[in-house]
Amino acid sequence: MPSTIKDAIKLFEERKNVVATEQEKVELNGTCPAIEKMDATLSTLKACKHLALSTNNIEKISSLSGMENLRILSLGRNLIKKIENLDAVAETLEELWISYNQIANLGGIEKLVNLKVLFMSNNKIAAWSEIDRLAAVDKLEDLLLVGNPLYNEARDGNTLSDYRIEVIKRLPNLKKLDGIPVDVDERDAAKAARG
Amino acid sequence: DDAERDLAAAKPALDAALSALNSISPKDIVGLKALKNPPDVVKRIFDCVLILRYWPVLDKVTWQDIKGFQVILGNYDMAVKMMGDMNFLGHLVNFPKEQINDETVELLEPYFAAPDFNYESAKKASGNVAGLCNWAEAMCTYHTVAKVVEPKIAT
Repeated sequence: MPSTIKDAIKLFEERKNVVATEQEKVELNGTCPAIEKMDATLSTLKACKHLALSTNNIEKISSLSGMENLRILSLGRNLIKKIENLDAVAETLEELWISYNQIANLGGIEKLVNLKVLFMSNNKIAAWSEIDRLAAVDKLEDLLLVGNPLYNEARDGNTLSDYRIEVIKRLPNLKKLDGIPVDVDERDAAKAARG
Repeated sequence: DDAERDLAAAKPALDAALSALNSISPKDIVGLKALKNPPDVVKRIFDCVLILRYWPVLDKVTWQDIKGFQVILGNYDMAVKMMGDMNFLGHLVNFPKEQINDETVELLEPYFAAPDFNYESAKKASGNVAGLCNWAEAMCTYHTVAKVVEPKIAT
């Protein structure tokens, strides 16, 4: 039997000796047995700014209505395929941590108008058209793509510096890519490439 | 001042990480690769190294009972592949620790929480490669301290 959100909250409260509804950081990551579904119990987490749901087996993003203070949504190491059902938190969300999932398509990301940080290593991003979609997220500063097919091909072909210019060309406001600051030379090269 | 005191606090963690790596020899790695089925704690220690280096871990999280407590099943095939690189230890010595992010630290937490995830029990199970356990924890400590210190230095 997988853990429900309610089970996971109870384990968190016992472990930390806190009341989850009052906490700014709610740690449901690495729950054993793993959580498979997000559900409406999440709406009780009114104070939550950082929801940690990483290291579970969640297949679908859902049930975030009512989390009116959510700034960091951490869903790394789950089984998620789509960026969806984020409308309820789109205004407040600044960081989405979603590495080690199954995302091949970034449709839906354009709704996150205040997103500054997107960590999505080890997903299935294989096409530049997916990076083009990120151009709509104009506050994005910090992007992590290591371990996606797009990155791995460049690494294996020794063309990582070209890959960086290609990303920066599409996302001129980026300050950090794959953990490394974007430097002046890269910015100039990307600008020249944009023409 | 504050920033310097905090940095000094991070120094022992970094020293511990380096001495942990220096305690491992290429011969230890060869010995480990020869084991068909190494102790479970070793597999989990290698999962932490995979995550710090953004290498693949198993897609589905599987918990299993080891000596009465629940631990995460490791991706040991990938660990063996990683050890196949002749410069494996060199990569760890030169690991870009300033590139670690908060998400990575969170992904390591469930491993650190296991009661047997410490140098002593790993050493008992596997000898010198237990140093990787200290290394992984030191990398997280470094990131946590640096995050507090960097804004203070910037001002």
